[in-house]
Amino acid sequence: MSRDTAGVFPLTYRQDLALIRTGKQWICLILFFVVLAAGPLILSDRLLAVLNITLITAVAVVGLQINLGYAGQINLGQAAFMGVGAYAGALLSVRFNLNFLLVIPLSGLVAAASGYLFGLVAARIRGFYLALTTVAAHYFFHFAIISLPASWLGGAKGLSVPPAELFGFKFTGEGSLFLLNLVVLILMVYGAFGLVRSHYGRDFIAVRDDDAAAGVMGVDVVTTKVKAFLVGSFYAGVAGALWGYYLRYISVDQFGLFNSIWMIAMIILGGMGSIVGALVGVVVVRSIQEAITSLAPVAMTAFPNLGGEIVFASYNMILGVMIAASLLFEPKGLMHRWGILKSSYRIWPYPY
Amino acid sequence: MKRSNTFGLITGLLLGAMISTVPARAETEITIPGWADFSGPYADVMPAWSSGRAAVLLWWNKTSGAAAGVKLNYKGFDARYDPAQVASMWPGIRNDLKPIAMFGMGGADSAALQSRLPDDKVPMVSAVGGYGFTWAPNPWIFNLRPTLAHEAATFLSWYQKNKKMTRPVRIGVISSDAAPAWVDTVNGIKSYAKNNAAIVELVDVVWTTPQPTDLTTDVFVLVNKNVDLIIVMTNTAGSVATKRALDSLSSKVPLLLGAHNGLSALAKAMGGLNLIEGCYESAAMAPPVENTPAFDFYKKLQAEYALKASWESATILGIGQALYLTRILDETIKQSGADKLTGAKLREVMVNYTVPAKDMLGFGADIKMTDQSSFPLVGLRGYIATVQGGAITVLDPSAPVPDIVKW
Repeated sequence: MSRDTAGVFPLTYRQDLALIRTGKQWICLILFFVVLAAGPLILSDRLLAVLNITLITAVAVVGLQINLGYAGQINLGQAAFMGVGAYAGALLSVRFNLNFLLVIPLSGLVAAASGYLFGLVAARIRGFYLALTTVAAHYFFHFAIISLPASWLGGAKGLSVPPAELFGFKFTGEGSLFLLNLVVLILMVYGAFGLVRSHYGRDFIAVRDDDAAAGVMGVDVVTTKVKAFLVGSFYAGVAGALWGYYLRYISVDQFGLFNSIWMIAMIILGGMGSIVGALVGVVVVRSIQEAITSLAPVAMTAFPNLGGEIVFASYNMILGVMIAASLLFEPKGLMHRWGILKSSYRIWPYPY
Repeated sequence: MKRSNTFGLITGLLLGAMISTVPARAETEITIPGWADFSGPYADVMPAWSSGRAAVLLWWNKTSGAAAGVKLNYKGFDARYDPAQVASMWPGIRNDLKPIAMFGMGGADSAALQSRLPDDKVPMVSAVGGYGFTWAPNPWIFNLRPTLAHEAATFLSWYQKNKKMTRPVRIGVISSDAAPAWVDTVNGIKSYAKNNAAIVELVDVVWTTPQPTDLTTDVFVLVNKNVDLIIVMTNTAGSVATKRALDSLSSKVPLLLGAHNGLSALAKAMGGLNLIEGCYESAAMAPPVENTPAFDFYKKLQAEYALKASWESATILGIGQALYLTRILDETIKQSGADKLTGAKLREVMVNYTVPAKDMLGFGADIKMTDQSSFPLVGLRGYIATVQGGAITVLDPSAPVPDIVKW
């Protein structure tokens, strides 16, 4: 890499493709990982618990970003696929006594299989109709769990999940679960970057931008759309398995339509078409959710006339306001704003 | 004489000095956390529920607590009725407060904590009914009430006896599969009907949307099948839609409701108690009517312990669960001492000791928890109420809760 006073310029194709361009960036990234890994030592259990849910959600949202942000296939059923993964993980752990190292990827594959079915549908329809079809995933999932015999999938009772275990060590504490979720998220994000920067990713983008033109250019549009759902659902299934190991009890009402909508909001806020944007969106939205929950009792004490129903409604109103404001003021998401800030910094004091 | 006076004075001074150096009995302060929902679907009833809990702890501090040297502090945590929120908040609560027991709210905290509490050794007392999935051994979550299916069965066995029926009561159930708890209730009723064919015949189950608006067709089918009673244990929307359908069909088939979607809520939605004459409500808790021992205790809390909530089901739930926990504390202190209280000891007392009805002050019958289920399997009693002459009337304040074969 050439580092002269005019800037940093890649000298080879490999350097041009690199995500981490300079030694300083490597140092920052490694330090970031070290700080994350030290989380169980420096953070309280409460913060670790919040981070655990954030990390699990991030896995599902990264998958949704690939499906929606990169391939342009609207998917309102990501939480249902997460539920499929969670139930698959529970059954594999309890009925077949498999280790979590096998359960997690297998759960992803089971969820991917269910996503494949919707991918086939996506090949024929798009936009609003595809959105409604993916909403049906929630109803199929709910109906299947509740209506099938309880001895199969737990029915209305749900399923208990044993803790993840490795050589006798049980992942039951917030710290150990944090490390497990962090490792899985890092692997999934690494895979996501590899995927979107490969020819698969270019196919996704081509189909997203104009599937007719992509078809003319030689992209197999049907297969690409199916692959997008396959990958997105796989990520959701992995997140579902992690969710099962975290909560240790799963029930169908933990994977509702509103959870899918929150995930869409995270992507919109963070920035469509950006893996880092998905992560940023998850962190921002989870922070807002925690803030509302913490402030709600304070608000009700300070303003007793407010009423519980208004406070409850505000939780969902704020979601709507976030999505609307994001689309109005920064439709490309926070990552776009971050990109502008970085560029401005690099070319400062010049305006362009 | 002078010598003896001097000696007495010195002795008195020495004794006084000794007594003054003996430290005052140390007061043990314990914080009892309680799950709350101020920003979720139960935000409306939460202030009354929380006030009930807090007032009872204040009362206990001034009575039994003062004598035992123990002070209880209540702290509510808003979890939005979301298992994820409960799971994320619990580690901090456990580490900061080191609780020996806590108050639960319902399915969300049960789902999030049922796998963790056995490791954390903190029992949770929940005021709402149990569920089929909590009917499992080694519970650390304890429900004061049985399942809604048990409460429906309480009414059915009472109804057959009271109406002197020589045949089974023919029932229809209107429910929704939107919530697993509702499906679980229907499964429980099916189990009761299957094993008590002489008492009840389940004619049909109507599955509808979670917030139905018009059930005329479904209710018409049930009425045509000559049901004696229709059970709705889902929500107020379900009970309103069913009642409106019955009225539009000019049918006199009575409705049975639960405490959460009961006569008060239905009357409010329909426009008055006089419009729901003959509907019934059944629950294994204190009835929300005056002139009962429970109401007298509520008035005492209101007058002396700053209880501001009105006399309603949510307040009753809060008072009941706090009262049960304080009685368990009393017994644990008696057995182990005030300075050796732990969650494990409290749980041991819960499964081995029967809190007598007189100690529950009208908020429950004899309560004996078991190691086989989260709710008592024997000895529970429930009330049966109806609307007569435009007012809620308790027909039986203490109907026995029958057994149901586990489903």
